[in-house]
Amino acid sequence: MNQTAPAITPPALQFTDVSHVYQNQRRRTTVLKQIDLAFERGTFYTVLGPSGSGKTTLLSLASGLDSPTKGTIRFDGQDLAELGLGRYRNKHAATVFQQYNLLTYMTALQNVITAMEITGAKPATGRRKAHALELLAKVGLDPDTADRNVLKLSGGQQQRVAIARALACDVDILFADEPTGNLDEDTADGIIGIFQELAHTQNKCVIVVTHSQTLAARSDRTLTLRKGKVAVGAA
Amino acid sequence: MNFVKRAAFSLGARRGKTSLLLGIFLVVCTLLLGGFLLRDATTRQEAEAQRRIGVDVTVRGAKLTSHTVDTLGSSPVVQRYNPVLRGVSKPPGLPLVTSNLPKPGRPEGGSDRGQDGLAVNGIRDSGMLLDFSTGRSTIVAGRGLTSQDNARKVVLVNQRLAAKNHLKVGDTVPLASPDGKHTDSFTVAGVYEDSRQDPPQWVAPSELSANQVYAPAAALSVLGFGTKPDEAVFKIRSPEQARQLHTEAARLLGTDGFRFDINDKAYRDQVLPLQRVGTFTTALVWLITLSGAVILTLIVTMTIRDRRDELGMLLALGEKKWKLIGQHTVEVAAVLLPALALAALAGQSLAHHAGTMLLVREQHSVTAGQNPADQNPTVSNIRMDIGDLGKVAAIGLGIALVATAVPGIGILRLHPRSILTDTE
Repeated sequence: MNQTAPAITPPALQFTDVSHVYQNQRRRTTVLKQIDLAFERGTFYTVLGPSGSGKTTLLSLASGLDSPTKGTIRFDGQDLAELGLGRYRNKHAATVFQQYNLLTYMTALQNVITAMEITGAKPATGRRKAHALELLAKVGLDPDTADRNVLKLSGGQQQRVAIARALACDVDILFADEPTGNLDEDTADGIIGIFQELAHTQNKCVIVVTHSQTLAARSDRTLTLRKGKVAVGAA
Repeated sequence: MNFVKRAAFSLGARRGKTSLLLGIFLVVCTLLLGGFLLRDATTRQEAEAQRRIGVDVTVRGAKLTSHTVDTLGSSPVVQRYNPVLRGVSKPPGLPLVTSNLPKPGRPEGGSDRGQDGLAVNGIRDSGMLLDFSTGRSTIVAGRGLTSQDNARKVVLVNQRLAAKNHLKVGDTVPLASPDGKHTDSFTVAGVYEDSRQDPPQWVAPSELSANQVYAPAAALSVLGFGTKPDEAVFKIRSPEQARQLHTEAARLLGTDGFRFDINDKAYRDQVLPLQRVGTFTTALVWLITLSGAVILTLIVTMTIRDRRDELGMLLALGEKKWKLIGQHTVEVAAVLLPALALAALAGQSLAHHAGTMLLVREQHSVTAGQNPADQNPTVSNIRMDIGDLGKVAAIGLGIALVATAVPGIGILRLHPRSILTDTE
């Protein structure tokens, strides 16, 4: 009698022997060295490490903004190179950048709606504007603020618009680069709560690069990078 | 089509840059439209001038006959022609206008007045006579003579002669053959006025302009004036066609049997300046197109450099690169429409003023040393049609595409990782 082996669900994101080298005309710098990592759904990760340890490069590769010099990165078991970085960024990953990178000729609301239009995200309610306002409210921005041009918002408000925009994409993996750096304690606490909720109730994979030990303490797992290698927390 | 929406947001928010683009497009479109209108108008006017003015070729020679003149006149390069058969005769019962001055060698009031005769000119087309084409002589009653008159016995008389003999249109006058043996009655078809003053000294009656009459050459031949015109004038479209006419004349009259004079002064005065303006405007259209494309390309390139973060962000969201180029193309092209509308308002007036200025300059250079009071050049026929606007719109769109395609190469090479500031 044949026995069926239990199905093995691949990790949401898996790094296998990933190395990355930056090369200019004179110098060749190895930023990441033979990284093996697995990021699971339903988990809130933080990545710590001193400056130059490779955190941002790790984020860049994981979010599909760049491809590794060596090794493979798989999303749900599929090589990102095969899936296509553009498609991966469009359908499966969203990033909150440290510099916000909002579209400065739009209001906060238009920024969020534009992200939904580009990624094709369709809210359950069916109405993008209502959903965008809901997300902005979730990060603490009222409708009046939502209707203002983003250049007229404070740094903290812009950061919250960037987070709302990432949430609007309704992707499997959410990346964030120092998302609470410009926020006051209460707002930062609220944002961390949103990340936890995304991971625990919506089964998303949340990966946050930070220097904040407070943020790290509230994540499910913490990875520490040193000199391009995972020093603590490797899978 | 969300990139179109983004383009609209961007245009609305960046009013300064949008105004700059609009200004540049307005200048480019106005100059282009002006150039096209001017070129079209000069082409039309040149064709009209060639038809109206043309080049006069005068052929003289002993072998010239009515038949050879008609044969040459049937050449495809000839638009109109007019043989001139001159003779003097004394018509019976038709007192001539005489000079009031004393005849040299005779006592004042001597009896030799009224001798000589009437200057009879056999022609085919009075409109081609130099006096009539320059306006020195004008028809004041009735009509001029045309090729339709052929051998009809009709005559064109001077107003002073008509007054002296109480002639009016429809009356008949007697005309005699040069030898006086034959006489026939001719009907007055028209009366003309000659603006020239009589000479300050005595001249024979036949040399006074008042005693010049014109009748169809064929009718005068029948009367006995012969069939050998003194000369024939052929109107052709341009000086380039003179060579063909000369070849035909040589074939008919022999290579040395005739004189062939080309009078292209009117053509040079009026057609050449138009041709030069047309050539200049064609070059101008190209220059504006190229410079407009270069300027807009530079502006869009600089804009795209300033917007690298925005482009990187959109790429990070998974936006397709062609849509990023599309957004910039829409942003540039969207400004084209209002610019075109404004240009349509200004282009016609600009073309008229610029055309007249250019034409004055060109005509002065062609007719240097002549009396500028004789010249009143203007480029008329400037008409804007949908085709001209379409051409400008197509070129404007082409410029917009070039202006975004070149910097678009930069977008294609753009990598989304560039937006991540290295904070390590």
